[in-house]
Amino acid sequence: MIDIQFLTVVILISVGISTLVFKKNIIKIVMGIEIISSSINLFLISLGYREGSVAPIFTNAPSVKMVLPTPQALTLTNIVIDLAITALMLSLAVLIYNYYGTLSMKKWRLVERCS
Amino acid sequence: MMTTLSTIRGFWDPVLWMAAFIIVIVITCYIRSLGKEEYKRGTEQTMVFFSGNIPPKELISSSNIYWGFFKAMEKYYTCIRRFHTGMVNDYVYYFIVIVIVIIASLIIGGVLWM
Amino acid sequence: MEVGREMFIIEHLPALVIAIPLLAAFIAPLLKRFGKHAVSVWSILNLSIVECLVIVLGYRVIKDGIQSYAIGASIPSLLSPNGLPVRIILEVDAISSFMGLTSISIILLACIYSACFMKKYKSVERYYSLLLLMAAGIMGMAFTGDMFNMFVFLEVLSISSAGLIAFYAYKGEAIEAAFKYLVISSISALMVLFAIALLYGQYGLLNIAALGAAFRFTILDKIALALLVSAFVMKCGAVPLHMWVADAYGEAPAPISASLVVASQISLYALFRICFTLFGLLPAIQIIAWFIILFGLASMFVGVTMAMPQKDIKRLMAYHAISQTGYMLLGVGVGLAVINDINALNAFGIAAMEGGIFHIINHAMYKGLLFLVAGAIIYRTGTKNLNEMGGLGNRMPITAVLFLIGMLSITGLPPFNGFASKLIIYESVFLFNPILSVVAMIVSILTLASFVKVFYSAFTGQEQSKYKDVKEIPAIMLVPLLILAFLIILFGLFPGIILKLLVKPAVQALLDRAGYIGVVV
Repeated sequence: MIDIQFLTVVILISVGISTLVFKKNIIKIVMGIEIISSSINLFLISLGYREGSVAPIFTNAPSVKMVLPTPQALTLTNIVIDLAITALMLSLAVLIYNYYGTLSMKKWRLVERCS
Repeated sequence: MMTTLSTIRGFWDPVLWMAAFIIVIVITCYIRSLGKEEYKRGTEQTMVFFSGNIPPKELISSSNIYWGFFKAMEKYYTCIRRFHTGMVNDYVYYFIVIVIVIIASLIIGGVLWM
Repeated sequence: MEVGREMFIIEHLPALVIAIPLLAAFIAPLLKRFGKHAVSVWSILNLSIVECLVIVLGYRVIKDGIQSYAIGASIPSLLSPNGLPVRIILEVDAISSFMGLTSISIILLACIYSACFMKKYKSVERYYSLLLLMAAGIMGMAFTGDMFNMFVFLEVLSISSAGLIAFYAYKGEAIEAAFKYLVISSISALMVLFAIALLYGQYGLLNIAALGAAFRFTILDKIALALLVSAFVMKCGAVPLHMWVADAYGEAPAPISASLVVASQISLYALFRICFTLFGLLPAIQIIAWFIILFGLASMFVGVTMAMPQKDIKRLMAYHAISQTGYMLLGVGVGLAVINDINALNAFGIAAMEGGIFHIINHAMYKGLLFLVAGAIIYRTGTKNLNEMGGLGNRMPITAVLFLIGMLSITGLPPFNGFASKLIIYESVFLFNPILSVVAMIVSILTLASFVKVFYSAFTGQEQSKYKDVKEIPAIMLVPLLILAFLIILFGLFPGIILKLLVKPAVQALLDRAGYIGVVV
């Protein structure tokens, strides 16, 4: 019996990767990377989750059980990094749109310039 | 010696190599000096040999170099260029294929190994 | 008082090496009001300080063994208070200080070169800021002993490199190359993070050494290994995951192309660290070793054959960078393949690894020199197209000689440094499998062929009338080129000493898995 959250992670990663492989629009490519990133965040969070436990922020905890703090720290870091990556990618997308007048990869790709 | 690099079955010494190189150069220069001196300047005797044709005046650009090699390897190049599409989708596709191949061979190999 | 300060620096050396460029990167934009030169002088100063610190650190590693540092602890040398490492630990052994030294030297020289090369652009302060961030990312990846920290520095490196590749933002191609690089980097970094999560879920550990000690070799470990290996192979630009290299190296400014070479090599280091230290005892590691050897072979051959028809000088050199990466993968892959067979390891495995690791520093130097020379040609003629060049040898004689040194070195002609490392690789790989060695030699010949083409079309041939007033490049740009050429000749003349001083400790550190783990656990 596989846990539902891990199944969700696998499905989301597949969705993200198929977006990356099959979609030519660069906004959709950015979205694909976002989906993969979010699914990995979900994976990290669900690794540290303990049922019925509290957030690991109390000094005098009301219950003995706490969720693991490290995966949450990792997730937070990944969210921040992800923000930077997304911002940079979207700004590059704006520049590409200004330069080529289209967002579809097929129309502006730089083909290998072999002689 | 300071400059020697000993490898598995032998050694490599750049200074010895340079000494040998200089000796070879001296011998080459000596042989070259034995050549004829009574050639006539400005005639065909001093022209570049271009298979009997007059050498071209215009620039030979870098694309013209090695055209025979590319002609001979044409099949290989058309095949290899098909992979270099310049599409980021394809790059990700190859990555996923490699990941799957490595995972599959690790799991199959792990079963065979144990 | 003086002694106390010295001790402070020595105690915090591993952290300072990362912290100085990181902080300097954010101060750099503020210095713009003092003029453009202030920013470049500031960057060169900081990178030189880091270079000195790395040399001191490397000396201490050779003398006292592995240096470690727990970030944020009141006593930095106290790594695992309760038997388990709780903090982020920096662990510096001979191979990581070797990589750090190689990378920071090339970045420093690229920075000196940029002081003149990038002078005409308006927003140079951002350029230097990103360059320093890139240095911080590289040093972080080299010195970290923590998986998640490695991911963070990988992302720092990717983001700053993408910004630098897109520096010529008025060109569509540069933006496009940066976008592709960013997609590739983020997908590989996310796969690294996924692998880290898989490992964390099983063992609850992030430290490389502690993880290496705790392994149980489950199926999930193998999936994590596959993800890590393919992600780092993609980042170091091996065929068939190499396509981003040609775009990124070709479109970036020339000093950045030289720095990107070392940025790729740091991913190579991460790959070796994972294969040797983390998964060294896995019985199926030989499958990975064969994959690395095959990646190396494909990179060597496809890289050089794709380089031959190129018209763009930097794109051509980018394909050669792929091809040379193949030699390193081949050498170290052969060492990894025989890691469990002690006789074969002593007979040729260690020698093959020495060849591969020696090739890393040689490649960084001559490829750096070649990219900088290409930058010099572009600086004076304004074109990257080889068809439009010609007869520059009379106008730029020093550059031509420097190019010749780099060219003879990359093709592995004696007596330059490329020959020494290639000789070791040929000989040891021949004992492992003769066919691999033959392919490596053929690739070397093809490399010579394609560089003869570059030399012919750029420096000799008919002189073009439009380049009548082309002059030699300014002296400040010549300085890093001359230093690199001097180092190439030095390494070529004394290969034995360099091998003994730098490379042998690095290889021993890579093989000494127990030593690396024993520092923490």
